[in-house]
Amino acid sequence: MSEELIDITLNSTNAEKLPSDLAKTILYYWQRDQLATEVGLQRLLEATMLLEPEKTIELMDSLGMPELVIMLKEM
Amino acid sequence: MTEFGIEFVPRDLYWKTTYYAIQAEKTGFTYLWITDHFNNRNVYVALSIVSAYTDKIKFGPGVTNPYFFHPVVTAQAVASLNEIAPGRVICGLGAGDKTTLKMVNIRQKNPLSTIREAVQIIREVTSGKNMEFDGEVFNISGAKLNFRMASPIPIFIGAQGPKMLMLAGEVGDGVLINAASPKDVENALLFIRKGSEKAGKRMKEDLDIGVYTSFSVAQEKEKAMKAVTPVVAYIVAGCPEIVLERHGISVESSNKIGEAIVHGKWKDVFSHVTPEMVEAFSICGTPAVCIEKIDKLLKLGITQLVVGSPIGPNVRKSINTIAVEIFPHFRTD
Repeated sequence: MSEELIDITLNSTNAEKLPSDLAKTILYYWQRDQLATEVGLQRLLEATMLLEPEKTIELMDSLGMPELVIMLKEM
Repeated sequence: MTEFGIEFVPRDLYWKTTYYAIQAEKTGFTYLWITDHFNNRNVYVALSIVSAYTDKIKFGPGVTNPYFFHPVVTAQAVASLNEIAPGRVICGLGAGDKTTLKMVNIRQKNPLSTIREAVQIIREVTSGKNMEFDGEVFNISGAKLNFRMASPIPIFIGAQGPKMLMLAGEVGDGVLINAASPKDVENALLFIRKGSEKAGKRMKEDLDIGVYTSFSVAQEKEKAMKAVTPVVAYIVAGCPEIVLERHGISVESSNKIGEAIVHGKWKDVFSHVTPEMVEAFSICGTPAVCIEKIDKLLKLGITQLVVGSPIGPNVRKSINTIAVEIFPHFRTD
């Protein structure tokens, strides 16, 4: 899932809206191979929800995570 | 053994370039080059953040030029970077890209003397010397850095025309040949050899020979082609006549592309770039096609292949493709 989320982040047309502190946190986890950990995924989700909420929800839906989809829709 | 380098253009947001740089290090690239054009993000800002998030990969401007930046400023910048990442900094230097120089009306005057003198100035200033210099292009009366540098910085010269290639062989620690086709590289090596012989240097042992090529890999050929076209346009627009002739491309076509770029007419750019130009000035296609083309270049005896912009339609996936599908063909470890 982390790869799909990072692709959404890297290829977003809203990429410039990613706050610098969040970008640096993602880089920090990436450097340490921790983007696929719980905390890494949380940061990636935060980024994709900021940049591409619809694509993020679509991805979670396609991955069969209905509870997460409901939660994200309520955010 | 041939090493692999990768080039990024800081047209992208800083964190994207840094993400890819970390990925390049993880996947086994040895060198990272970041381009220097005034209209993109500053190369040294980009390199600074890259240095903070990487540990092994060697990196530097690829390439900067002494028309926009006086060599003492370049010396200061690379020496400062070397403090953050000791022993990892390299400096690529070239005569500049005609298209961007034209945008600010800077003439590419005396390129050979300019590069020769710039190399000497950067080398001496980074070595901590108090420099006095009275050259044809630069005049320095007492330039010294107020800080020390732990290790020397190798200077690679980006070259394409015969005289610049010869100069690169003579005065560079390395050469970055701007080419993608074996016949261009073969031709370039003849001139580099002449230069290195003049300076009593051995090819490969005393001089790194890098080929800096526009690269685009994807599982679908068409996607790779589409991604590489704008980069090939810049190359054709800035290409010396002699190289254009070798590939049967007219100066008129090159000028048309150059004009279209300067005026931002990207539809025209795409229509003027032909598949023959893409073939001549890039390594582009499926992984199998790229392997075949890389293999031909490596057989010529180069020490570094730089996978240059755009890398592919999806940079992250293309870097992974290179690591998983291309590297194993050229590495035994």
